[in-house]
Amino acid sequence: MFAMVRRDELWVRGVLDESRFTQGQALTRGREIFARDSIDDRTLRGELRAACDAEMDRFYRSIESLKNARVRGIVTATTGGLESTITITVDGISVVTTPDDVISDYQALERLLRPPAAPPPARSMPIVWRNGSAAVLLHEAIGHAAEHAHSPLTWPRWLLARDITPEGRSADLIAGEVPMAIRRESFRDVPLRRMTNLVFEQVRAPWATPAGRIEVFLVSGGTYEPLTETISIDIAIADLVRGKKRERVAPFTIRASRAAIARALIGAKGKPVRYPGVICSREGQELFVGSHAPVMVTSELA
Amino acid sequence: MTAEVYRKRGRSVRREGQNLVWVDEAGEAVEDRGRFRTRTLDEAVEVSAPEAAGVEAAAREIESIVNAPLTIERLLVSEGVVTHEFGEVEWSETSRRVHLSISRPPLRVIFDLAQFQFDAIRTAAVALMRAGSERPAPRRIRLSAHVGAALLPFLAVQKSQTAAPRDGKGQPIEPHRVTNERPPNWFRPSYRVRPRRAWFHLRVEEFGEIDPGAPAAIALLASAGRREIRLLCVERDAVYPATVPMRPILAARPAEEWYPYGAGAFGAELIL
Repeated sequence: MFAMVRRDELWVRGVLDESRFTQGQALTRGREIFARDSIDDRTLRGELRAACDAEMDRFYRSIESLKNARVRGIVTATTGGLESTITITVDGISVVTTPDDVISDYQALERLLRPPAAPPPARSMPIVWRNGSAAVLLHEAIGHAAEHAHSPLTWPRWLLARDITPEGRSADLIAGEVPMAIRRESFRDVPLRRMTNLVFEQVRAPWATPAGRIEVFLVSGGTYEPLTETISIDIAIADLVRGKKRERVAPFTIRASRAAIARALIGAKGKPVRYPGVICSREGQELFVGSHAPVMVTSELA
Repeated sequence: MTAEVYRKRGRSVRREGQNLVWVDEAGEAVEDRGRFRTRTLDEAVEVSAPEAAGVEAAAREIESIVNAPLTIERLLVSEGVVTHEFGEVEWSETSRRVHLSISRPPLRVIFDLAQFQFDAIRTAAVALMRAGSERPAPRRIRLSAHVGAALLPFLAVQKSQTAAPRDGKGQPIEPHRVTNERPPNWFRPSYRVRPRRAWFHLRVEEFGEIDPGAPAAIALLASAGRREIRLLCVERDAVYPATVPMRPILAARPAEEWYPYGAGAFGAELIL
């Protein structure tokens, strides 16, 4: 039996704009799921509500100083644990974070925001994926391919890719293992095998900073097309760097096959950096997926 | 201004893949001085049960249409019975929905239907079996009614709102020519979604001549976009995918079947 209580609030420039309270349970018998928006077990309902409300208090405290942003907090207490996400949007650019990291992620977003000074490059260039953003690229190219049980590719030997559940169970995605967790967005949904917390690491990877390059800091979206095994990544904040000259470029989209991405991944350095959030949508269910990757470099994606 | 209170109680059953999912829900939405709040009512849902047998039969019928090398990528078939309450006004409805994607890599045809009638799926499944490689967009193309319906919400063409009993705030939906002005009615696809103004049940106004000999677009290969559409085309003996840029509509003819695009759209045969 699955049960959940969720509070979802949208604050716009410090004022509460929308709030939603949802609860429900789902009983699975064979191939049938019986879902309804009440919880039979009163004790369980009380516990889930209390956990949700306590986390909402933490959410309120964490966003007190964010008066010029659009802030959406979603706290879900389930029989499987507690999940808390905060989406901050400033000038149309969003990051997804948690109460623990919201202030530092907000400050980092503010530092990154400035209007583009140049169009996106007319031709493909090497890309340095900073701020953990390579986790989004590899989420699509490795993570979704693993969810779809697509054949493993040959990735650089220095790359490790794991999806880790809250209980610590880990899947080696490069070896073709599928994510361990069965997740669902709500009691109304069919549970699916989904990514939970992606950690990409490098072990003695080569590194050379290309003189001419794009440096990516934030990504606004990504998709994996399972029929063609192609990836599309929408870049929200990136700089064009040529020698000592650095210019902010307008948002652009990268499209490539996952095989092309595997070939293009030519270097990495440092420890995995937490990327501020990925909301992953599949089968109409939106789920938060933790994302970590070191700074990585890809050669020109033709 | 007093608070607006809307309540919805409903029961639905859906076939999603091989799962059969029953959902009972009762919820409330309140809009008060610009603030929107929703909550579950935590009460027994006193609404008649939807017909699972019909949903299962429809899903099986679709499965029987799709044979190798085609595969069903995504299948949702549902029926819902709902009562709505807005202030003193109460109304109810029963709805059916089908969302289907059939794949034959690298192609995928998609359907969104509101009836358990699958002639268009049969036609597309047969054609997809024979689909060849990509071709340039035909100079003129005839969109099937269900394909035209998907475009209607954002197509610059003469169209009208069709009468229906109630909108998302319990008001009657009156016939109205669609203009650039603010739509008179409110669309509320779920009690958890803040209602927005929208034109309902769009019907294209007939003009020009539909050329039956023009290459036919019999299915969408991707969700319809404002700039271009990906279509499965049939031209004499050839079946092929094409990307067709949005361009002026040369002829239009409305059809009777209703589709769940936007706040509703009737079929529209179009020459593009």
